[in-house]
Amino acid sequence: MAAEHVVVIEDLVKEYPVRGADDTVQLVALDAVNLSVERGEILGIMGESGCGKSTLAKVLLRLEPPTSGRVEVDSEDIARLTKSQAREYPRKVQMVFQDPYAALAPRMRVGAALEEPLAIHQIGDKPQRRQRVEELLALVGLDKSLAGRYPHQLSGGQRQRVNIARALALDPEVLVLDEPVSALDVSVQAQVLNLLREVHQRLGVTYLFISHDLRVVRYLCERVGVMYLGSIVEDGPSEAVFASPMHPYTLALLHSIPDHQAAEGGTVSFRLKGEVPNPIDRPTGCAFHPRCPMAQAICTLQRPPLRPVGGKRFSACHFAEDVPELGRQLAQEATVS
Amino acid sequence: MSEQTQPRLAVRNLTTVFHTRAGRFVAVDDISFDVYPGECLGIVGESGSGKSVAALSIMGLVDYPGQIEAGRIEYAGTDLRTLSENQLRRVRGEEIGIIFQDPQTSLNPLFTVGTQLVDVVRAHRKISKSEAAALAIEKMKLVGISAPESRMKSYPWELSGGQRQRIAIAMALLLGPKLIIADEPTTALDVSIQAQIVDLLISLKNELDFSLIFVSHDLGVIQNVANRVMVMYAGRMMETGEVGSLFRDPYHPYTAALLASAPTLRTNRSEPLQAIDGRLPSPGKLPPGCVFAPRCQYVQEDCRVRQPLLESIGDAGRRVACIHPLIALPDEVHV
Amino acid sequence: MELIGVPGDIDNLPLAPESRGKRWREKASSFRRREGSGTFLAGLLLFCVMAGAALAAPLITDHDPSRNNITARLVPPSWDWSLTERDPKAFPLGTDGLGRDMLSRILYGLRVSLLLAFAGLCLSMALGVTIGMISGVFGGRVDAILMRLVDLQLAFPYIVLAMAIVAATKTSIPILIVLLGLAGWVYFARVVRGVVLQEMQRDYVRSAQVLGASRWRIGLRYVLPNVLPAIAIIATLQFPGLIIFEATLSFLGLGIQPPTPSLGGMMLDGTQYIASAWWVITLPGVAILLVTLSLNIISDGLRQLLDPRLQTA
Repeated sequence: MAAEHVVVIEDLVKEYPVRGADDTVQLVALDAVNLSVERGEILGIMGESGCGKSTLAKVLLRLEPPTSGRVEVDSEDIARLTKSQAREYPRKVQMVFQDPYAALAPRMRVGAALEEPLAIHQIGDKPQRRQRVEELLALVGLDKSLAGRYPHQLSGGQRQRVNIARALALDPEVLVLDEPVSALDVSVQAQVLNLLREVHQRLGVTYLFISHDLRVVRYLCERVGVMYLGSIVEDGPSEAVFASPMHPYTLALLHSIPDHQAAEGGTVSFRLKGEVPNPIDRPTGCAFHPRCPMAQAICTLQRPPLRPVGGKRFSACHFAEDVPELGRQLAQEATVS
Repeated sequence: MSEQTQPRLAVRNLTTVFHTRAGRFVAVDDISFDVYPGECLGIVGESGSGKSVAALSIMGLVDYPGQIEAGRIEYAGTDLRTLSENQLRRVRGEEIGIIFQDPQTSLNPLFTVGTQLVDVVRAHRKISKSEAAALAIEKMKLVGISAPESRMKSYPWELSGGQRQRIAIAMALLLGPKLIIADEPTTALDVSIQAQIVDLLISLKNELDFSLIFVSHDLGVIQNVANRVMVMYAGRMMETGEVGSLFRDPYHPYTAALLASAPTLRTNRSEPLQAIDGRLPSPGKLPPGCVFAPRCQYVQEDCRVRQPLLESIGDAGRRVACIHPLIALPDEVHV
Repeated sequence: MELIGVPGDIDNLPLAPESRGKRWREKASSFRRREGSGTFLAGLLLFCVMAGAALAAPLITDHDPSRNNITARLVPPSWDWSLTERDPKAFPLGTDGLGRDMLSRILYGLRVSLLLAFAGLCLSMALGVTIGMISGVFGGRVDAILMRLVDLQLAFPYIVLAMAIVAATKTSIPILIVLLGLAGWVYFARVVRGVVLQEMQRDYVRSAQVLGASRWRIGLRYVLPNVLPAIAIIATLQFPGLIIFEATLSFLGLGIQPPTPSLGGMMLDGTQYIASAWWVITLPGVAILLVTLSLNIISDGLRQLLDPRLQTA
C-alpha cells in the first residue's frame, strides 16, 4: 500500500503556563506526540479526559501554536505558513465539535450557517452557494427545507448533521471530529456514526476521530492511537489493537468498558488503580507506571519510546511483547469464573 | 436475590407531570415497579424517557414545574406521598440515599468535605461533632478514600472527579439507608473511573445489603450493575425483567432496537449500525396507541390505535408493553 | 444526560414551519403569562403617556411656557380641571415665580430632556458598543488600552469634567449632547465587552475561527447578534441616568439656558420658593421621577424577556 501521509506529527509538545503559588509552572498537555495519518484513513484517537486529545485537535486546527516539534499537513509545517497559506488552511483541515448545541451560532439560520464557509473563502456567487448548500444538506441526509430553520428548532442529531455538512463545505482533506457523538442519545448516535461512515466512503476524507468511547472508536476507525498523559502509548490497526493490546493501559481500558454484549457472568478483575496523575507533575520514566500492573524498576527510571512492535503496530511500553500474554490470562480467568 | 420477600419499595401507578407554558406534559406515565431488599434495579432510557424523573419522584425531588400527579410510593409500608415535608426529609438520608450525576454540583464548593459530611449527620442525629466526624471517616474508608482524616479538610474542587463521586457515595451512605437511588452516577466520569465506581457500588450493596436503583443511559453499565432492569421510553415503561434474559432476548422492539444501535466490542464493523429512525415524540404530542409505533420497524395497524398494556410474557418477572412482542407466543395466548 | 426540566428540551419543540408573526405572537403571549409582566406593561404605559404628552405639548396646553405673567405669580396648583375648560388662562399645576404656567413648562421641559437624553444615549451607545466590541473581539493590548480608558473615566468625577468643559466652551445643545454621550459610553463598553468575552469562548465562535472567519466577521456576524439583548437592556437602564444627568447639569445652571424650559432648570428656580411654594420645585422632580421609574421598570421587564437563560424554557 502506497502510504501517503497527509498529516505528520513529530515530537509535538504543547505546554501551558499555569500560575502556581510561588512561580509559574508548565502544564504539559502534549508530551512529544508522534503520529502520521495516511490520506483517506479513519484514525481514532482515544483516551480519558486530560490525555491531551483535545489539545491535539486545537494544534492541528491552528487554534493553538505548538510549543515545539513539527506538525506537517500536506508536507507544509503549519507553524510556518505564509499569510496566504494560512488563509487557505481552513480549506484543508476542518473540525466537528462535540456539542452540537453550542457549535452553531444561535441566531443564524441553517442555510446561512452552511453558506458561511463559502462566503468566507469567496467561493462561487449567490446562486452557486445556494446550490452548494442544498448539496450539503442532501449529503448529510437533511431535507433542504431545513435551510430556513434556526438551530434551536432542530434536534440534536439534526444539528450535528448540520455541523458535519458545514465542516465539509470547503471539501477539506482532513476532518477532525472531536467527540462528535458523545453528546447524542444512543439511537441518534448510531444514525450519525452511519452517516460519518457513508460520507467517508463517498468523499474519501481523512478522519481524525477523537473519542473516549472505545466501542465507538472500534466500530468506526481503521486505525487507533491511544493517548495517556499527553503522549501516544499505542498505535496500530484497530482490529489488532482491540483483539490483543500491546500496552497495559489499552488492555486496562478495554477491561473497563461496560459492554452489554460481554459474556454473561464474566466478571472482570482487571481494574486500573487510582486516577490519571496531574500533568503538572508527570511521573518519572513511563508516565503510566504508578497505575500499571506490570511495572518494573526500569519503568520508573526510563521513559519507553513509541517503538514498532511488528505488524504496523507501535507501543510505548518496555514490556509490550508481554502484554498479549496478560490479556490471554485475563480472558481465561473471565471465562472460568 | 433471596426469596420473593416483601418489596422494600413498591411504586404503583406513578404519574409525574410538568406544567409548562407549552402545556401539560407527562414525564412519567403510570408506571409501577418494586424494589426488593438487596437487589439493584436498573432504569435505562434515552434523554426525555423520564427515567430520572421516575427515580427522583420516589424521593419527592421533582422540581417545579414538575408535580407527582398520581400514584403510591410505598416504602416499608408507608406511602411517601402522604408524609409531610419534615417527615420526608427524615426519610431522605436515613432511609433513602441519593447520588447524583455530577458530584461537582451536589457538593458545595465553599465548605470542606468534612464540614458537609458532619452537617448531614448532625441534621439527623443528635451527636457531637467528633462523633459525627468519626462516622464520616468510617464511611470514607468504606468507599475507598485513602487518608480520610486529611481528606476531611479538603474542598470539593481539590478532589478529582472520581474522588468527588466517592465522597458523594459516602454522603449517601452516612446514615445507613436501606435504599440508594443513583441517577447517572458514572456518566460524568472517565471509563476507568467509571468502572471503579460501578465496582464500588456493587460491593457496597452486597456488603451493606441496601437496595439500589441505578439510572443510566448506558446499556453496558446497566448490565454490569443491575439484577433487574426497566426500559423507559417517552415516559412509559416498555419492558422490564431480569437483566440477563432481557438483554439476551428483548421482547419489545424498542429494547431490541436500543441494544442493536449501540456499538459494542463485538459489533460487526463492516455493517452499518442499526439506528432507530426518527426521533422521540414531542412531549405534548404523544401519538395515540403505542408511543414507539412511529419509529418501530415491526409496526402494525393496531399499534397506532391501541395503547399496549404492560403484560407478563415469557420468563418469570418479564413484562412487556407491546401488542406484537418479538416472541413466538402460543396461539391461544395471542389475541 | 437527562435534565429534570425535560419540558425545556428544545429537541421536542414542535417542528411545524412557523410564520414570523405567529412566533412573535407566541412570544408575546408567553411573556404576558410570565411573572412581573404586568408591572412591565404598566411601566411601558406610563412612559408612553409621559413621552406622548411631552411630544404633544402644544395640543395639551395653550400656554407659552416662557411667557411671564406678573399678575399670576406663584399660583398654587388647582385640581379643578373643569376650570380649565371654562377659562383657558387657568393653571392646573400652578405657576412659578415669574407667573409661567407649570404644566406647559413641565411638558416642554420634558420634551427637551427626553430629546437631549435620547441623543446622548444614541451617541454613548454608538461609542460604547464599538469600543466594547473591539475590546472584546480583539483582546490583548487593544483591550488593555481601551479598558484603562474606561477605568480612567470611571475614576474621575465626571460632573467636574463636564462643568469644566461647559465653563470653557459655552453651553449649546451639541455640546450638551456630546457631554451626555461621554457620560454613558463606559457602561455600554464594559457590559458589551463582558458579553463579547463570554461569547468568544463559545464553540460557535471557535468553529467560525476554524472556518477561517476574520475577527471582524466573527464580531459582526456571530457575536453582535448575541450582544443585542444586552445592549437593549443597558440602553433602557442608561436612559433614565442620562435624563437625571441632564437635569443635574441644568440644575447647576450648566445645561439648557433659560428661557428654554428644562426640568433641572425649573427645580433650580424652585429652590427660592421651597418654603413658600412647594410645587415649583416638586412637580418637575415628580416628572423626572415618573419618567425614570417607568424606564427602570421597562428595563427590568426587557431583561426578563430577552435574557436567553430565561428564554430557553
